[in-house]
Amino acid sequence: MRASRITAPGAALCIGLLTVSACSSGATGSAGGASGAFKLTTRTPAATGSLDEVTWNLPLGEPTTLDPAKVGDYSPNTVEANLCDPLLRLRPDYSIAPGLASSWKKPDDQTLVLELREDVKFWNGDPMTAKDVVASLTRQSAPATQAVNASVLASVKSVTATGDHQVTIRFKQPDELFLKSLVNGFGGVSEASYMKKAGASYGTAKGGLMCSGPFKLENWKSGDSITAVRNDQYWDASLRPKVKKLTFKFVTDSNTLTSALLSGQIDGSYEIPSSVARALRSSGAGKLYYGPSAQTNFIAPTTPSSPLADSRVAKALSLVLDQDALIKNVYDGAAGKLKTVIPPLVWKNGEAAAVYAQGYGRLPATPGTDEAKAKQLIAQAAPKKRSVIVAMPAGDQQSLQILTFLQAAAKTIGLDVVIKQLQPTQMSDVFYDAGLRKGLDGVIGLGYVEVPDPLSYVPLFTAPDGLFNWTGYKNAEVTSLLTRAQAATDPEKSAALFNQAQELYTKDLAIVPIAAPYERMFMNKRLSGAPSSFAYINMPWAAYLGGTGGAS
Amino acid sequence: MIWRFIARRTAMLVVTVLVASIVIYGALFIAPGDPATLLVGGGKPPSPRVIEEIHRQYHLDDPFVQSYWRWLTGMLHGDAGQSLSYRDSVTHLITDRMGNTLFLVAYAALLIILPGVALGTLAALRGGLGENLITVVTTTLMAVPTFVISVLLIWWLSVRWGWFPAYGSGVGFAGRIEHLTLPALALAASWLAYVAQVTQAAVRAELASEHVETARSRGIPERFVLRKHVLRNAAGPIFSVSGVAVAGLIAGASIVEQAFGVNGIGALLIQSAAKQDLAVVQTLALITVVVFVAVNTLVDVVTAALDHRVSLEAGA
Repeated sequence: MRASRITAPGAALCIGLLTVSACSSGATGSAGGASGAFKLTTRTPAATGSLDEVTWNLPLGEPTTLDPAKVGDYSPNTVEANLCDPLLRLRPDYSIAPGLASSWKKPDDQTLVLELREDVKFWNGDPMTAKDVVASLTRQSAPATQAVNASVLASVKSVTATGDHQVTIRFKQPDELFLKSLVNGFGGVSEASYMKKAGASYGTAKGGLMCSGPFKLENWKSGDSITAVRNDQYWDASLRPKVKKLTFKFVTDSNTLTSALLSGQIDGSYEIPSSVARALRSSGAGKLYYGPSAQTNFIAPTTPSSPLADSRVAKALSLVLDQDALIKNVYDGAAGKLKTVIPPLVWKNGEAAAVYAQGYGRLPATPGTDEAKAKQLIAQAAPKKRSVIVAMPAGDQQSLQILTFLQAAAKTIGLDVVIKQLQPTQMSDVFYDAGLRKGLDGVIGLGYVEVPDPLSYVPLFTAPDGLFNWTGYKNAEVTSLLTRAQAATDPEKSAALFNQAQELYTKDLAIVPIAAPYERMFMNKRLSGAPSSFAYINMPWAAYLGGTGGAS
Repeated sequence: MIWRFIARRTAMLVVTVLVASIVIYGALFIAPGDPATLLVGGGKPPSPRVIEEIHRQYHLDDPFVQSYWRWLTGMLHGDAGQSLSYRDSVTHLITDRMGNTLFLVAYAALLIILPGVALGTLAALRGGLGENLITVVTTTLMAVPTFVISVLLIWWLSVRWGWFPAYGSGVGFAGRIEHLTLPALALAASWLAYVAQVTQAAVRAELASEHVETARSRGIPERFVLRKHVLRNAAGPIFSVSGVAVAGLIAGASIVEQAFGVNGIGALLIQSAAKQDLAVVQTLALITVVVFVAVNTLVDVVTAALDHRVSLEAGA
């Protein structure tokens, strides 16, 4: 249950600030197939030339911080991943590669030794040492840091420098997830002395950053833009950027974004909303790419007394919801059907992919619509309340369309869906305030799995104290299987245990899956190279970006 | 007399601002939602602890009176507080963006007043088809919502023809003119009709007045009559409506700034309100109140100076 997310807060953000259905893009290694008309690619044609300047948009608005310990959302991650190197790297296909740690070994089940690269320098020229790594990791357990991934450290006993370029982590109990969690901001390394000096302002417009990534933070003009320039001394010669200056803009309005992309004033953007995608698809200004994603859209019950908390009611709703029509009309076709909460991209190219694939194959296929069966389930469940209040972020067109679909479908089985639009701060509060959830029955969520391991996500819903387990879901067998899967150091054994749990919770977890959106990314025709997979969120994606002309 | 008037207006301004500050602060205070949850930006397991930490740091759990008092004393010491969502001082956020908004409002005011007065005068003098045409066009512009005009302007002038950039604020004078022309046009469109119509009515009234008739019967050249007797006397109402228009622009700037991605205080207000960033919203709302009252006071004073029949005592 660490380091992954579900973001309804993200969804809330998208909207409120923006009035755009920006949260929608996405990708997915979709479940169930139906990749339909779109060809999903993880990469785009390699860049051939260098460019002086590129302007990129963050459709979810300005980041609130770039501190690696605090980034946990679309916008901050999109920028930070190019500035601060993590200890391990995520590849476009969601597999793991060495990063600042060139290799690692596990002398025993409760020890992890990271060997650090010796040629890494921070932007100011200071060499990176084990001291910086220890400081970057351990500061995240202090509440004052306000680290979003602090729970990854729950199983850790100590983090110590055992050499100039060696760090040893000792665990209280075996934890196979820790290593994989090093791919995101949690594993980001900043210079210890700089962080100490900057204090609480580290990662803000005022405090700046000191990392070793392919781009250096040059200027953050709050409200206007963030500028990064390439790091000519970048340690990974194969990833030295072809773009000299990268400017991030914060256009959240769909209309403005469409105009800016069409006119070439902005060169590209990830997370293109459906309404913008429709306008861009037929344009000659550039190309819209579709990639696999680890995002999922779903409706979750908010209280134990909600009619949706009965898995039969949830199942009945999915049986009357016409997913094909929904995907075509709401997502503009750019989504796949969702078979279970973990989309395959998360494990598809990992160590134990074959085992995960077997488990995934054993799950029942996404059912087509079946009104008779749905009515039967409702009759069995006989919910006391026939009206269901579902919350969504105010102004988010995509959520509104989804819920309107659901409303019509629910009517056929005698349920009355009431749509409640919440303001951004209220929407994000739903995830923390049980009192607020009491007035609701369900909430629409957009989640994504950042760490290439299902265990980083599933327990959020299934563990008795899981952050999103609001219905008191309790399945001792699922919890035990997942706990054992995390403690299993052999990847295949861990995957097999997870599969067993997945088979169980997919049956009885009350959740209405909506769809698995694909990643949608647009690049002006003068550029190429950026990965089109959702993995961008934790990759130095801009280092791949360059011109389409000849080398210059 | 004028000083007494200004002193009284200033006293009223202070009271208005104080009342407005309590109302706005109170409204945001009781609004549902927790601004700290937006900052975490993700539902990660440690979040409840992180939220407590943010609450502590920004005093979000203080009762209303204590929290308002902290803000007020800070304000009196020239400290507008810290923004929760930008993690920066409010003063810095606002001074950074003020230039863009001032430029935009001044530019739009120019685009309203010059053509508005010219068109209104023309319509009153010419009458007939020209008058009807001017009335129809300006009234149509007034009826179209600002955000619709914004979209149309961007679509034609920016995307189709590429004359102007689609968004952004620009740097330097030339850059700003280039970037802010479309927003200023969008902002000006709805106010143009008011100024044109009031000008037309005022000029028409003066044309029919006795002193103009007399002047004409004395054989004074028409040009001279127009300047000395008509326009001069019509200036009062024209100035009044222009003042109201400029004050309205300050409020209307929010929508246009948001639509055109102009980094001004209007866009900042919208974004901060959505995030319940109390310190920023409060300060901006107060600035708007102060500017509104100041512009209106200025209009009253100038109107009185232009027309001695208007008494400041009555106006106050």
